[in-house]
Amino acid sequence: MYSLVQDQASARERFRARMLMGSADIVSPVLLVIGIGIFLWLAANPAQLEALLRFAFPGRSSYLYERASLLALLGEHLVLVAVSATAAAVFGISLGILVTRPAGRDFLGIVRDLSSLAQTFPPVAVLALAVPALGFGFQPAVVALFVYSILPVINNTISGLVAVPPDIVEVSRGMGMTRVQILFRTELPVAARVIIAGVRTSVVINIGTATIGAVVGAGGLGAVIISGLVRDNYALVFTGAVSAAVLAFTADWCFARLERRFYSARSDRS
Amino acid sequence: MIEFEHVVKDYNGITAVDDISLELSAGKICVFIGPSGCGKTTSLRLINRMIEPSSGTIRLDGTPVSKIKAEQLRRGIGYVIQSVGLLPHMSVRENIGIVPRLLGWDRNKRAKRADELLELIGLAPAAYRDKLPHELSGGEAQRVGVARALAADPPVLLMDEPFGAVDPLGREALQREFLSLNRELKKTVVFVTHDLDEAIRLGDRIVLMRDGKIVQDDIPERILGTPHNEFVREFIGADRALKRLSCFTVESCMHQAAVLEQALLEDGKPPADLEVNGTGTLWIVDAGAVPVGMCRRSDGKWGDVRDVRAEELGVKTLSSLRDALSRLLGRGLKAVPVLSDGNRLVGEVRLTDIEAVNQSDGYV
Repeated sequence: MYSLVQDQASARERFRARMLMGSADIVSPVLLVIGIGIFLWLAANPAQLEALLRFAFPGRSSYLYERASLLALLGEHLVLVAVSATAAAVFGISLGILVTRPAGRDFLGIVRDLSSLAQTFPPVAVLALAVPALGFGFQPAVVALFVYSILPVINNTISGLVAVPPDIVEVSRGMGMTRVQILFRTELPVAARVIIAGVRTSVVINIGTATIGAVVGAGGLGAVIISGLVRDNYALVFTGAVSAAVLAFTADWCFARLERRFYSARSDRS
Repeated sequence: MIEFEHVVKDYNGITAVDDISLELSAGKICVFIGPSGCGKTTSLRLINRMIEPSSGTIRLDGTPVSKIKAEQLRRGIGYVIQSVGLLPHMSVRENIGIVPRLLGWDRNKRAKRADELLELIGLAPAAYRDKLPHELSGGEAQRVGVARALAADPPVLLMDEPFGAVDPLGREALQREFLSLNRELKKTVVFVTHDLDEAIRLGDRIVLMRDGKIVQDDIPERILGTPHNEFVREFIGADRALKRLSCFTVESCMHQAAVLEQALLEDGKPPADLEVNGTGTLWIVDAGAVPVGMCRRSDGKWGDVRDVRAEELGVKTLSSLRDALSRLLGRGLKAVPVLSDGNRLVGEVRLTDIEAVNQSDGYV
C-alpha cells in the first residue's frame, strides 16, 4: 500500500515537475526577483495598476478593489497561510514521527486513512462546519486550511521515514545512539527532502485554497476575487487570481531551493 | 576478554543460541562461522546488547554487559555490518566522527582523528574526507566502515560479514589489509562469516556453530585436519582436502629431481640410454642449476625437449601444496620443479606426492 501511495505521489511529483516545477530549474533568482518586484510595485501603485487593467479589460466601471489595498490583502493572505501551514507542518510532521515509532506503529494505517479522508472534504464544507463553532472571520478559515493542508505533510513524513534504510538505523543504534539521537541525526536528515517536499505541496495548496477564506470574512486575496465574481468584474478576479498565483509560485520556488540542500536518495543511487 | 557463560536466546520458542559458553582472548581474531540460522550473528549481537539474552551472562573484561548502559557499552565497541551502513547524508569525515561526537569530542579532535584513520586504511585524507558515501566504491565504503568502527579506539570490534558485499578480488585485498592492520592494533575481534576461506585466512580461532550450538571450537588447522564429526566434515566441504593442502609446504614432501645439464644434450635430446625413475620427467638445467627445459620419457624413448621458464613453472620451497597442485593441473604436468632462491632447482613435487598427503589423514 505504501508503494502504491508513493507511486501516486511520485507520479504527481513528476506531473507537477513538468507543469510547474521544471520552472524551479529554469527561472533564475534574478528573473524571480524582477517579477516579484514588478508585482509589488503595481500593488503599491494603484494608479499604474488601474492603467494596466484598463488596457487589458477595457470598458469596465471600476478596476480596483475599494475596501482595502492590494498590499494589505496580500499581507492578510500571508498571515492566513503562515498560521495554518505552520500548524499543519508541525502537527503533520509530529504525527508522522509518532506513528513510525515502535510504540505508534499500530496507528500508522488509521492516521494515513484519516488524513486522506480530510483531503476529500471540500474546503468550503469544512468552512461551513467551522463557522457555527468558531464564528465568522479568521479562525474558521485557519481551521479549514489546517485540516486541508495536513495530508501531504503526514503522507510525506511517513513515506520519508519508512523509506530510511533499516541497516542505517541498525548501525546508528550499534554505534551507541539513543532513540532521540537516531531520530534527529539519522532518520530525519535522511528523510528531510521528502518531508520538505510534503510541506511544499501543502503550502502551495494552502495558498490557493486560502482565497476561499474570504467567504467567511477572513479577508485575503479571495476578497478581491469574490467581489469580482459578484460584480461580474473580471479585472478584479484577474487581479486576485494573479496575486495568489504569484504568491504560490514564489513559495514553491523557495521550497524547491530549500529541498535541494538536503540529502536525496535518488542521487545516492545514480 | 569476552566471556559467554551458558548464554541462551529464545525467539518465540525457537532457540537461536542454545547454552553457549566461550572465552575469547584479548587481541585475537575469533571467527563465528556456520550455515545461515546457526546463531552466529545472534551471538555477535548479544555482545553489544543489540539483542538481550534469555538467560546466561556475557562479560566484557569481567563486567557483565547487562550492568553497563546499552548506549555507553556500544560506544565502546566497534561495530561493522555487511551493508556498511554509512549515513548517506554525512561526509566520510562526519561518518568517522559519529562515535567520537557521541563521546563529546570537539570538532578539531574529530577531524584530526578522521584524517589519521583515513591514512591508516590507505585512503588519502585530502581526497576522501569530504566525499559522500555514494561517491565511494564498495571497497572504499567498507574501509571507511572499518575506520568508523575504529574511530574512538575501542578495544573490541564486532564485524558481521563485513566484506560479504564486496567482489571476491576486493574481498581478498580487504582481508589482507585488515589482517595486517589488526596485527598492529591488536583489537579483540569477533568476526561473523559464512565463507570458510575467509575464516581460515583471518581467524586465530574458528567457532563453528549449528542450530545455536558450538560444534567445534579450534584453530583453523585442526578444524580442517581433525573435524569432530560428520557435520564439520560436510561443512568444510568437498574441497576440504584442497583447503587442507594450504597447511603443508612443498618442502615437506618434495622428491629429488632427475637433472641433466644443458651441455650434455646430444642433438638437442637426452642420451637415449639415460633412464629416470618417478614420473619420467627430466629437467634440463643451465650451468647455474636453473631449469631451462624439460623432457618426458615414455615407451623407452625421449620426447622433444620443451623450453620452460623457471619462475613461471616452479614453486618455492615454502609455497603451499595447494599452489603446487594448481600449477600441476594448470600445465597438465606430472611434476613441477621446486626452486630455492635464485631459481636453483632443488627438487620436484609430483602429483602422486600430493595424493599421498591427501590420503595420509584417512578421510578422503
